[in-house]
Amino acid sequence: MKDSLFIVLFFIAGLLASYSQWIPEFLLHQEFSTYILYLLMFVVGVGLGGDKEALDVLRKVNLKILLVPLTVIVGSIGSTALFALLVDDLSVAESAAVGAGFGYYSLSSILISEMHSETLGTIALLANVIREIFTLLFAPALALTFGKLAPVVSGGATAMDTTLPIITRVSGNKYGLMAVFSGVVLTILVPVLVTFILSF
Amino acid sequence: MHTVLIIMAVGIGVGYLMRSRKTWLQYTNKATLWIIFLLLFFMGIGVGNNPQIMENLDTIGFRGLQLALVAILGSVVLSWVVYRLFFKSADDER
Repeated sequence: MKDSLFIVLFFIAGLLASYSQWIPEFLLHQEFSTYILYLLMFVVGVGLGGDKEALDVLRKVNLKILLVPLTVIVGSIGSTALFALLVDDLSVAESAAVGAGFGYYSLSSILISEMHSETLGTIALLANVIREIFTLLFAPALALTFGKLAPVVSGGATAMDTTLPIITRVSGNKYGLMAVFSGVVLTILVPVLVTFILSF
Repeated sequence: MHTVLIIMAVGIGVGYLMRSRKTWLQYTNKATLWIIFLLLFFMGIGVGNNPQIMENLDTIGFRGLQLALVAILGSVVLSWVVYRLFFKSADDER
């Protein structure tokens, strides 16, 4: 949670610095952020591949537990795609790409602003930060209204780390394990699905 | 942009091979966080320098909020169905 706060603060710091024209001209037209993105994708991969716990959880895969990340994928992408039909300033692909962030706001917003536009990247950053905060705040209410699986799917990719403690407290250890599984699967799928959706 | 996916896949392979080197993996995770900080700082710079975004921050913020709530609602409503069909009875047996 502390890290999430810092991530957002760095974004705001950059925004304020350039808006108030403190940033030297050459930094405004940088090409190197693409290469930093490549570096990021590599280290994110190393982190996932080397995560023994994640690997152990993935070994316990069965058909029923697969339903959890599948629910998040269909629920998030389906609903945001439908939402695009109601508004005139978002295409189905744009809206669904934001939904496919599953709360993993750092990676999804960076990818979307690199592949599509800064505007959509900013929307993705906000939407997915809000998804994490909403889950932290409303996990108990979600479990009461929609059942014990609801906090897990609301957390999306964050269910493996930032929102895991509240999910375990609200739904119990059994659902905590599902949360880690679903979170790991979704974390791997965010770049895959965002790239795929934006190719339309 | 498939490049990013190939690079991540290579990273997963490298990470898997390094999985018993705890200190290296810790460095990698620290590096990940700082790279994210750096990229979001640059993203902030781009956004602050983009009048089209700065003049429409309220609309953009509202869209972000809407999409967050829509995505959450879609997921939890579907999870209610999935929970009742596949999970609830297993819980009751305990």
